[in-house]
Amino acid sequence: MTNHLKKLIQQQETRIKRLKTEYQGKLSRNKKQNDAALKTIRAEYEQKIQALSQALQYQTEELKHEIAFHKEMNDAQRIMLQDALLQCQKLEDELTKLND
Amino acid sequence: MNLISKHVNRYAKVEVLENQPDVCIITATSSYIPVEEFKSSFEFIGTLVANENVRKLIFDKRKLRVFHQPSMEWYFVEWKEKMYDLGLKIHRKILPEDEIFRTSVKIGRQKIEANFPDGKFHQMDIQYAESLENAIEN
Repeated sequence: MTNHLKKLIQQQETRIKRLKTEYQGKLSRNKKQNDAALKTIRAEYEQKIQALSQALQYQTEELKHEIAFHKEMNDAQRIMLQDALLQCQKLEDELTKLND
Repeated sequence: MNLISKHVNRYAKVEVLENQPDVCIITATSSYIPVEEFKSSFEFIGTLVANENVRKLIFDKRKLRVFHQPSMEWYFVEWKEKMYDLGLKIHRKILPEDEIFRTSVKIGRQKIEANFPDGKFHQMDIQYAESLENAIEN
């Protein structure tokens, strides 16, 4: 009876050990799969953030360029206007001289 | 006519005629050419004049709306002087229809001519044309 009980206990212990090994194996495999998935998600995220950052930097540079272009064009228009006004003044003076 | 592209930036393009490579065309592609890009485009043309025997330059300004007097002074007084010595003496210009631009060019040119009476540009063959074909032919 005692022997039978011991055998049963040993069988039970073996089953438990097997179950434990199987459980740990599954856990380990799952962890590896999860780690790989996590790594992929993180890489995708970082790649998207980098692309967004690059696009933002490009757009910022384009805008800076556009602002500088319009500022310089505005200055050029001012010179054009000044020169035209000077020319008008010159013609006005000549006309006054002719009339005197 | 077939054109060979030589240089392009945001504001202008430089080409030569395929069957007349001594004729260079610079075309403004924007309403205004910032001074640095203006200079770099013409400095590039300078290399064509020196190395590829360009003898006639057509400046197509039809897209331009704003005239920059300091750029024009540099173009007339510094660049054209150097080009004259390298053999580029024929210049054709095509202006936009815009009367404001045309009058500004006239005023600017009078100013340059008055301030630089001894400039070599006085000895050059500089004429205006109404079309690219006309500029090439004459």
